[in-house]
Amino acid sequence: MKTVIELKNISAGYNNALVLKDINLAIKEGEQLFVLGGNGSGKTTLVKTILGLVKQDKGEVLIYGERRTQEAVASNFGYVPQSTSGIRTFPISVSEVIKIECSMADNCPVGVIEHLEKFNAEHLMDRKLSDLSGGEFQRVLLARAFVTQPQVLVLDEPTNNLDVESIHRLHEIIVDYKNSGHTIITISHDDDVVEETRVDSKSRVVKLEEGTLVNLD
Amino acid sequence: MNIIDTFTQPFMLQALFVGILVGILLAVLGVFITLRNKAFLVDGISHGSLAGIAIGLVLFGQPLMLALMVAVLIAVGITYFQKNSNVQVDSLIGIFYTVFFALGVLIINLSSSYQPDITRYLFGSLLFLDEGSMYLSAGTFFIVFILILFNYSKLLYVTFDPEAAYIRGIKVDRWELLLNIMTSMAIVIALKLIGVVMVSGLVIIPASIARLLARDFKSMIPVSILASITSTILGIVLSYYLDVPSGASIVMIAGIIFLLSFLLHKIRLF
Repeated sequence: MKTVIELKNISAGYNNALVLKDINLAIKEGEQLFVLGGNGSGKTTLVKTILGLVKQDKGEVLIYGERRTQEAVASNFGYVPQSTSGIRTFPISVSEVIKIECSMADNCPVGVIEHLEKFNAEHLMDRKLSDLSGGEFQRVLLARAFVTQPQVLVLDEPTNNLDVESIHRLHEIIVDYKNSGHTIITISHDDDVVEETRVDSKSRVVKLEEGTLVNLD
Repeated sequence: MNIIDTFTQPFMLQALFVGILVGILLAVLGVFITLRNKAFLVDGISHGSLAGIAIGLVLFGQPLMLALMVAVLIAVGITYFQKNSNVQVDSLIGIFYTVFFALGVLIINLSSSYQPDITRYLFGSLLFLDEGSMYLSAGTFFIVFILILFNYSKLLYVTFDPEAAYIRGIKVDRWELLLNIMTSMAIVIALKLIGVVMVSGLVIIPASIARLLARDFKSMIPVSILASITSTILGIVLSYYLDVPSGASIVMIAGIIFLLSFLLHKIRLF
């Protein structure tokens, strides 16, 4: 299997405070990887560095063996962010959020309603983001990340605010997605997420401790 | 003089022409700016452009081109320092705002003969517009309008969710810079009619009225335009009959519409 993402000696941080220290990690095509760790361990910084949202101070990020570019990220990645407070108040409807994602990616294999149905969110399509509950909003973010069917999905705390039924549904979607050859990286502070969304025993778990990576599986 | 004669005088036609074009531009850009929480940026650019006006008047007797250059310089400078330092953007705007405004004040004081002109630039004047202002307004309107029309989705995405826009391959920094430059251009063509001190009112107030009354982003733009054009036309009429600076009367009307909109918003909610 091809290596989709390779991190070589990555160090990154904010304002001279080093958050990631000499990280080396390779992620294969079709793999499910969990990155666990406590608050402030560097999980979100790690995925933001992979995506190019945070620039590393040292090392390099390779995507399919080539140095990461924004174009490569756009062609291969989908992302569910952990912190989205800035967009909750934006006056836009759920269906517009999905449509604009499709228009930018130029690749939406399914219709908006059909896609939202998968996330039990079709009844929300005309609602504004600010009118949604935390769980409904999280389902919309998940729907947006999946809609373009990217090769790699990066899910930062994907079960945030979700009820048991929604978590079960997300698990089914993730199983289908991984079984069709896609790569899934899940970030969480909560070890239970591994059991809730794990596809099979081959899924790999790593832990970040004070910016250093520790292999668990 | 009856009302028809009043509105067919050349200076009134020029003021209405420039006012409507400027009103539309500032209303549309205002929606993007307020949703990005960058209202203070408009104050920074407009006040800072006083330095360009002063230099332009002293050196060439024509202030707008220098005002435009300084306004764009401020927009680019704030964006550059934001990306390359850990100073908060509000602080950066405050630095550029005060330093360039101070530079303008120093130049004015060292060249006292230009003070009457500068007063008009601070608060706007109907009598200040000429044929050149009309051409400049029409040209700027055309350029900015075309840029927004053909890049609407990208600008919307960058405004809505910059991180997601980046991951979809949009060059967020470039589009944010372009928005800031378009704002600088619109502010500069508004300076003669509305003035350095007042122009931010016509960017922020119509967009805020639209936020109160419109259901979503798409409908915010026409509501903001309507509020802006209404404020501009009524403000110009008020300025003529009361013989007061046009910038002050336009912003005052906009403020009254904002208050009425707020009351409507409250009534609708309860």
